[in-house]
Amino acid sequence: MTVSMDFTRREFPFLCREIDGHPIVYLDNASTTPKPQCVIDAVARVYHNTTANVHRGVHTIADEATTAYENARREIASFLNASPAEIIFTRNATEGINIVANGLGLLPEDEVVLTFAEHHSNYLPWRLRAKTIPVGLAPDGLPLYDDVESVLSPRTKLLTLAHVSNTTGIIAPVEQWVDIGHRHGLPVLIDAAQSVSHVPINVREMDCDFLVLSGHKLLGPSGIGVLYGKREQLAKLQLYQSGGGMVRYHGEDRIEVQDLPQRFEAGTPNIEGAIGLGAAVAWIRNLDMNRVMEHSQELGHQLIHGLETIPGIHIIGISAPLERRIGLVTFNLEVPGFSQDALARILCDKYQILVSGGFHCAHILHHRLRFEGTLRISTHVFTTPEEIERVISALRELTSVYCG
Amino acid sequence: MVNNGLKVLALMSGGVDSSVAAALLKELGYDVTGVTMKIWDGKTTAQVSTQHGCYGPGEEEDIEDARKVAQNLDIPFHVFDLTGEYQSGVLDYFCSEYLSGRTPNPCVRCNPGIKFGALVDKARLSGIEFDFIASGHYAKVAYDDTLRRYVLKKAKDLTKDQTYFLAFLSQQQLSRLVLPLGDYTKIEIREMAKRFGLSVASKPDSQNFVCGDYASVINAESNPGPILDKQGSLLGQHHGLQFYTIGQRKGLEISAKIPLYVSALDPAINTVTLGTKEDLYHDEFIVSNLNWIAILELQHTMAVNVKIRSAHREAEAVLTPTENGNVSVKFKENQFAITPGQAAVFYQEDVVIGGGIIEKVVL
Repeated sequence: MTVSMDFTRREFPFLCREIDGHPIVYLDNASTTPKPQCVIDAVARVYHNTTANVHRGVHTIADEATTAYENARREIASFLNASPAEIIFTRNATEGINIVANGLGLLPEDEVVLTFAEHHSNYLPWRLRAKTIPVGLAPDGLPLYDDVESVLSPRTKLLTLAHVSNTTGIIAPVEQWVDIGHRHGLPVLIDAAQSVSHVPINVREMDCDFLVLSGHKLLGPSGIGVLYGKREQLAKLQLYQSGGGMVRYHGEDRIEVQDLPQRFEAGTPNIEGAIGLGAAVAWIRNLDMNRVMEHSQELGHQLIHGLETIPGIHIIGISAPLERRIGLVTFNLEVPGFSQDALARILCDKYQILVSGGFHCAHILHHRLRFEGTLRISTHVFTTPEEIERVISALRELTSVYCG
Repeated sequence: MVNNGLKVLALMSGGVDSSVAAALLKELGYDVTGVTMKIWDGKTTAQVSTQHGCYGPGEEEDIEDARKVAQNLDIPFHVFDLTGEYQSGVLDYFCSEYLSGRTPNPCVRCNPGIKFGALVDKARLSGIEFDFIASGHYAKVAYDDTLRRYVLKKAKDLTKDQTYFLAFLSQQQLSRLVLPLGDYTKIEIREMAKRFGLSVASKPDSQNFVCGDYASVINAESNPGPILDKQGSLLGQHHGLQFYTIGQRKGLEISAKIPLYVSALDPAINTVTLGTKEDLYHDEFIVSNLNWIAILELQHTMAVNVKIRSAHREAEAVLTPTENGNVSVKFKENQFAITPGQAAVFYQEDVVIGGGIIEKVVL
């Protein structure tokens, strides 16, 4: 390893958690992430110091709460290189995608281009409104990204893609898709739920029309997410939820809707969630994101090198170039008599290693690959090479014990 | 030296301390990049002397010294122009405080705003990769697992300890700070400088903001007014509030039977008030602009040692939270010349609890 991020561990109280008297090895970050102390402090502070509603109050504490909430928006905007009016707070990435899918006013004959590997949250919102046209997969599960142009038609209304797939762990060629989309006059939505805390993101450079992320995968609280959209794109979207806070004027004669971003933030938001997410983004911005990515890539390489020698293992996307991998590897491990779920449980119960087991909300991908589930190991900044060694040894031991 | 997988941005002033710090970091296996900042506007005069201050015409020589050390150590070196940021972040503050009858400490603004603020931001934006920032300050920083916070502690060499000047750094800044000199004495540092073969090994220390007359930095007209005693009798004329500080005895240009000291500066009526030495002793004052380090916030009273000037010997006191996040400080024993505008830093043993700016004395 050339990059060390061990110094970040101490700030995460959760990493000291034990099961049966043994410290956990947390390798399920693609599912959700632990929080640094500063995020915990920021959320607690809302409860013991700054409890007030935002954008509505007329007292000092309401001002403080509103300022903290809007500062969080600004922090996130800076992180993505967007402007604050282009940042909408949502419940999670899924809600962000639903806002866009709903807002585009899709008709059943309209088409949305994506890949078979997309997470259900970036598949179903499109499929339940229009026709989804998935780009095919290579035999080992990698989307055939280059085929995108061939599936475009006059009915295509949008292209969408996960920046980093939650199953393959591969960084997709988003610039290429955005370029193709724009050449055909189509907007592009990027699902950055898995990528935002591993890969530097600059929405202006990427030039995507929409981008979504979830706070809980970015070291922030759950129940908070972000939808980024270019101003002109957001302005065209039909309204999503209505209610208090998104109207400027509500009279018997007329309704005047708020400007961006408030237009899409009806009702009292997840105030402490947004403030906590702001603190999480401030924390991660205090690291060098290029080094964060290098570290993630190095752990990914270490995982691949260690796993590929285990008998009975099938790693998804094994043919992808190593430099396009982050620290996320999904695989099917053949152990007679054991489902992938059961193997994940043994990793927890016997080794206190926490990973994902199952379909990771990508059923279609699994059907195509004919896997009855898979195991997924996913790292984050605080993951150490020693932890990777431990999970590899544990899997090796499992296969030798149960396979003979 | 074995590479430790970490990259560090070493702030180098051209002085012995930051030069040895950079050399030590390299020895510890860090991948080091040296940086320095250009802050002097090239116009403001301060007397040129062999001793350099932080701000003044000696800057060019200091930058060259830093560059030579970087060459000695075979590390990349960059100079960043922070003249604009320094003017608005430090000098304007310096001037406006003096004109308001307060006595500012520029380091209080420079460290968090410039050295560990704007300079670090510029370095990051320029594409330099680094995990940590290091300086040659005499202090220690460490993560305390019980407090769950980064704590700032005094250096081993208490005569050189600079925690007073670092007490306004945020948790975010402290979390990325490496201070290689905290465990060494100045004598050991000078020996190391020789051992490393650094060209600055015998360079004299520079600890001042400006060498010579600080008033030359203040861009303001002279605004004379009355000097009064505490009864209100006129004793003489002052040249402008910016030339005076609480506790000052020299340069008053008045004649009196007993020694008199500046006891108050009132910008509203442009008056300097003098008193006897006894008049300058107080025990209670209010602190604002709090920066808490070892604790999240002050919720109850706390017994600490407080330093009210860089040269002040810390004294026992009790802190009490007041409204608006301010703090009331009550010394066990009266202290001389508690000066609005100066930094008050709170300690418990060698740990910095936090610090703030002195607002006013409670009479």
